[in-house]
Amino acid sequence: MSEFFLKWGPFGAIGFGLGLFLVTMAEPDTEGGILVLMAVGLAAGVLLGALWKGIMALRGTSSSKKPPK
Amino acid sequence: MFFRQGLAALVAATVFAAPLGADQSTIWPDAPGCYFVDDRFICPAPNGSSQTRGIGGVTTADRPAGASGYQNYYPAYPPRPGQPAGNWSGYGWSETTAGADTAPAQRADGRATRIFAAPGAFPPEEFAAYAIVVFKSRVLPEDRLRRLNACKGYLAALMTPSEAAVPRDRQLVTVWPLTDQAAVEAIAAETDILGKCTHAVDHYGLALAQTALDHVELSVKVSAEDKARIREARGPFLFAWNPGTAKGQPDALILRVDMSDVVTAPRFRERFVAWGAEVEQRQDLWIDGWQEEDMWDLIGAWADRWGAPVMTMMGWGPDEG
Repeated sequence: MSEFFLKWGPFGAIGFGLGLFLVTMAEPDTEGGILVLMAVGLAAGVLLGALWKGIMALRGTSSSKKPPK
Repeated sequence: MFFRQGLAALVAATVFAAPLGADQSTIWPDAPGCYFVDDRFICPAPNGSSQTRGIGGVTTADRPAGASGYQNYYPAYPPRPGQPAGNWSGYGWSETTAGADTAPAQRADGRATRIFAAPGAFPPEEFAAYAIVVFKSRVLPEDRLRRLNACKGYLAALMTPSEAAVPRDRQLVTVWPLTDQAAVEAIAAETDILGKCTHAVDHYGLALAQTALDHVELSVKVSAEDKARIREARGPFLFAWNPGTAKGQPDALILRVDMSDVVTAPRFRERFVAWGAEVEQRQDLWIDGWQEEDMWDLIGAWADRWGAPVMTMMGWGPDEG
């Protein structure tokens, strides 16, 4: 569980920040609008994380690789 | 749109840049208010938004490149006063983007206002220009809240004709059409905004709205893509004709706004405020096209639009502000 948060937490934080940025700039009038923009930000953060991990895997330098025993 | 306006203004300033007052004493006697500036004649329109211009001795091939909005070629340029006819033959055109030599007082004091109007009072001819709030249908219980929000934004953002400190022939009025005069009087009798909007929504003048949509559909100035957008979008729309008397003519210029993505009253108010500012500040530069919305406004309106169903889906109830 903690490994999951270690892996994805930074990207979740980036997504949360992106969502906050969207909400601040677009100033939706409703709670639903805020929810939608936060979800968009989080989704963008997770997508960014997946992209990053994919690139790292292709380069063979993935941080998720376990060290050889 | 801004590029086109900028281009038109640049062309107008470049081609017609004549110092104010230069040769304005040379009045063309057959047309009061018209005057010559060098070899051009200029006839300002009553509302200052349109001018007839001409250059002696030119042909249609000499039209200024990119000078959008010109039309109505005159086969005979009027003779300069004191000169025999024929010496000044050429072509002229009606220029809907006024140049730098338009009297500033004529274009600076127009005010965007609003009225509720029944079919008998439409179009409101005493105003300089007018626009109409167009919904495509009558109200349903499901979209009643949104209609009320649109009305609240409309009332909050625009002044009544009596509030505006300018005569009606300087006002750019935005009309909310109603079914009959009784509805107009009922709205006038109401004191609170919700009461007014209840009448305005329940007695929306669909026939006038459909006529406006027909005029937009018939316009040769509105592109096929824009017409398709209007057909597909749910609205409401704002359509403005400049000058107002040109409504229904196929070559009339139409300024338009699509508010299909707006849900809440504050967002409607913002759009109507932006609309009022647009028609006030750019009344001399009205060019056929869409009013551009700010990107962040679009994102905010989009989020509000989809936020309501998301909240409902999650069991947190409707949330339309």
